[in-house]
Amino acid sequence: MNNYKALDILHFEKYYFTDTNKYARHFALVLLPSAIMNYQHNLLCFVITSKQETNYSLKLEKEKYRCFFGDSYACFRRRDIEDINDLSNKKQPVGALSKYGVKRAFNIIKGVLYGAGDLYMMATVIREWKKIRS
Amino acid sequence: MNKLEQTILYLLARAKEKGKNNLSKFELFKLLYLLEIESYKFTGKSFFNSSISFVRDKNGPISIDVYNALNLLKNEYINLTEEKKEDYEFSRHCISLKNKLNKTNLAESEKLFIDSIVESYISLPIKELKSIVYATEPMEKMLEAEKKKKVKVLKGEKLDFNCITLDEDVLDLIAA
Repeated sequence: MNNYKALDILHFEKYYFTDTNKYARHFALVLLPSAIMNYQHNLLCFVITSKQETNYSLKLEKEKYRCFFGDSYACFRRRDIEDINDLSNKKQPVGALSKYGVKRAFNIIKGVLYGAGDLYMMATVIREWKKIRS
Repeated sequence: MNKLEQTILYLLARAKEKGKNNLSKFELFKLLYLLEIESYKFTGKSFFNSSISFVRDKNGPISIDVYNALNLLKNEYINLTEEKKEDYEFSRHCISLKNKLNKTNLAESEKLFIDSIVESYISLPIKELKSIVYATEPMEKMLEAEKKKKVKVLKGEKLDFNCITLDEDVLDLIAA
């Protein structure tokens, strides 16, 4: 079992986009760790991109997050199940959300999940993130 | 198969993946009780659509609905055996899966929620699991009533899940 936690920033050689069935090299933010996923090599992630895709994203400044080449955005409107075997050769995790980032991300994610009406996904994420915050 | 039966099988499968080949009845009752507690806490609703109830017994909450579900599952899906475990001096009734669980009708997010509960409690010794159960709001309310009535155990008394406080982050969302 890997030790990646919610809030870790990982770098994937092949990040899988569930909706388009395509792969691309990307950074990602862990939403739920492998320990509670059905398969031990899986993680539930948000993609991190260089473009702000929607309002439901969090800006991660290059100055604060040294792993990025430029300002980046964690996109919370979509989530994908990733395989740890698709991680790049970089030393992982490449970073983690700051305390301030966690607070802001948590508020956006709660809102997105509540809006989507998926009660148990919302409940699981709140429960898991609270464990890390405390 | 109803949701309770499916949840029992899923819990047993997850326990096995976490290195526990079986669960004692005590562990199973307490995990199902904590699942229901956390469901009320984080969604404001019963995980089982209020189709099961828990009553006070001398070692905490038990449920006739769970006994009934185990009876229905025992021939085809589960084994009921008696085993001695390290953390308890007497042997206990234990439950294990007969075969690998291939399919369940639980929603993906419901499974994740169960996984989150399993991850928190599955490795705890019986004593610690018991003290967590006794610290839940319905049990605290029951202990208070027992104190008031000056009885040791209000055996058979139904535990009240409506007294569970909603998590503050969930409350914030609803209020917003």
